[in-house]
Amino acid sequence: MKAIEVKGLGKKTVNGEYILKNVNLEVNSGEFISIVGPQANGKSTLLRLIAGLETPSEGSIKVLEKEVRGTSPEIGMVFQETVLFPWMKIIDNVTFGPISKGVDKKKAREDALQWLSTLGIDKFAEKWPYELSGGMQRRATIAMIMVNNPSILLCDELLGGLDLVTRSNIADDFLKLMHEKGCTVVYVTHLLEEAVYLSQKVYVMSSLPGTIYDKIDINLPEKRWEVPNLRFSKECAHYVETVRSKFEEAFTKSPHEVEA
Amino acid sequence: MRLTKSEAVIALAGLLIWPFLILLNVTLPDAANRPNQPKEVFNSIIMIFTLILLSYLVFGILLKKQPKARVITVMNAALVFGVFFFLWLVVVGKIGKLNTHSFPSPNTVFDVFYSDFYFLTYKSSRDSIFRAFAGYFLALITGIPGGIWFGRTMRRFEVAYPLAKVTAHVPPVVYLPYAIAVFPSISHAIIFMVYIGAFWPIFINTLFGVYNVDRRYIEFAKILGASEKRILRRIIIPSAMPTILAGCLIGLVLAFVLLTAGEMVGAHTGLGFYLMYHTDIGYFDKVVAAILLISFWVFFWITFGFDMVQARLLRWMRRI
Repeated sequence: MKAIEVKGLGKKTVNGEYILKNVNLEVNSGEFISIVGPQANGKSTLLRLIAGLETPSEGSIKVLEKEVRGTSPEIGMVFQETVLFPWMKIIDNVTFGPISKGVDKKKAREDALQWLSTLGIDKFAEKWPYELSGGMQRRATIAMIMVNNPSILLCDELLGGLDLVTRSNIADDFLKLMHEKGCTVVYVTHLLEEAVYLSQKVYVMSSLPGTIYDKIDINLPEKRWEVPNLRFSKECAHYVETVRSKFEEAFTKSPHEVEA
Repeated sequence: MRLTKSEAVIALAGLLIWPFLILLNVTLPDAANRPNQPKEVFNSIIMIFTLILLSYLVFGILLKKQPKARVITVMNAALVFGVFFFLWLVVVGKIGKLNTHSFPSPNTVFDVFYSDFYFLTYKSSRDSIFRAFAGYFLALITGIPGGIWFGRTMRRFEVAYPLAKVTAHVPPVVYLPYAIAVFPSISHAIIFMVYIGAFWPIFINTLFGVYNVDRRYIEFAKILGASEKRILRRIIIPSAMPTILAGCLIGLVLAFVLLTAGEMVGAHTGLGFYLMYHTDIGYFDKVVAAILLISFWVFFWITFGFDMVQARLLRWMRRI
């Protein structure tokens, strides 16, 4: 089954300039894909369109074989910046989604605590967001999304702004989690190593107006967290090199058409 | 609890300055020859000491959590007010170079709170506070919901903003003569003016607070599946709360400013009237007493009515 199907998608700004043009993308259910590309080429816009926060100017987006009309609880999205509601305690932040959807408060609290302990921050349930460090806040945001049980997860720079060790720790936890839940993940990043390590397919996007330039299949073992030092292995490096050359091609060759 | 050296000095000074003032006042009589001096002297000092220290004590204990912060808050206040009182007492009361009629000593002034207890301390305060709060309360219940409604969408905001821009900057005092002519009583006219004055800062701050809520919060709440009603209640209003409260504080201060201005012009009761009336007949000790009482009430309501609500509502914010 196709989880996400994007056909001939275009998005214009208010001035009529194209941000995205003729984007075609297919993601199977349970697949983990990454999208890499230069900065400011509409990667985030693509995610926002799939999430239903914006409407496309051209083409169509189908999620779970239904046309996207506004946000839906099936799709979870993690923004580029950490978003926690600062006026709620961590536990209230995490239960916000389930309670919004009508889950019983007690049940929502139990689920939330479960997720917080999975992510290793259950100690901080009764704290205010400002009392947490950046990495913990990021984990709390992931808990907020995951407690809603989305079948599709869109991540915009999930690990942005975190240090290397935290980054790889969260990445492994995250990968394991997604595997267990059978989530479909679309992961946007500009770090090629991360894209290769996490995903089964890497899509390379061109610079503005953004379109899919190429697709690279990554054939690494499925349970990557079980292989020691896979991140630094030769295969991994080989894929990173492939993606990097495509990335450079996309960067230099794509026409820089900006319509006035 | 460990105080640093300078903190300990301040705490000690704040503690010792009051017994010193009492001693000074009892041993050294005022320059102006007044009968029944001793009783009055004792009363006035005890009174100001109790008032200021008690209110700060409650304030410090309710607002600050750590015992050290409480001690420092209370003792700072005690020292600052002690020094102010000392200067007033010595320069005006004891040296006697100034005209004692135009510049009354603290002993004379604080005696007014006793000798005129019914008219000043009780009745005038009651009438003034009623008027101020009637107007302020009306401003709250119209300004906040109104600001939320108009700030909710861009279209409504564009209706409200130009209107606010034109109307809000008209000094509220200009409505008073007209209001006096139109409303059934002077009290109604003053309440109306206080309402207008407090309404605009509350309304405009709410309007901007709600309109400028970070889009990411709303989008994220939508992603999490929240309904419009829930987004308004749990995201937009809390997010705008710091701005709304800032408007409420400006409104509260303005309410008292306009109240006294209004009462001076036309009222037959209230602190503003009391002050104006006694200026006209030249009882300046009563005038100063009324000024002090007004400042006390403003302080009182800002501290107990406002700061505590704010500390409760904004407890999620990082304290500096």
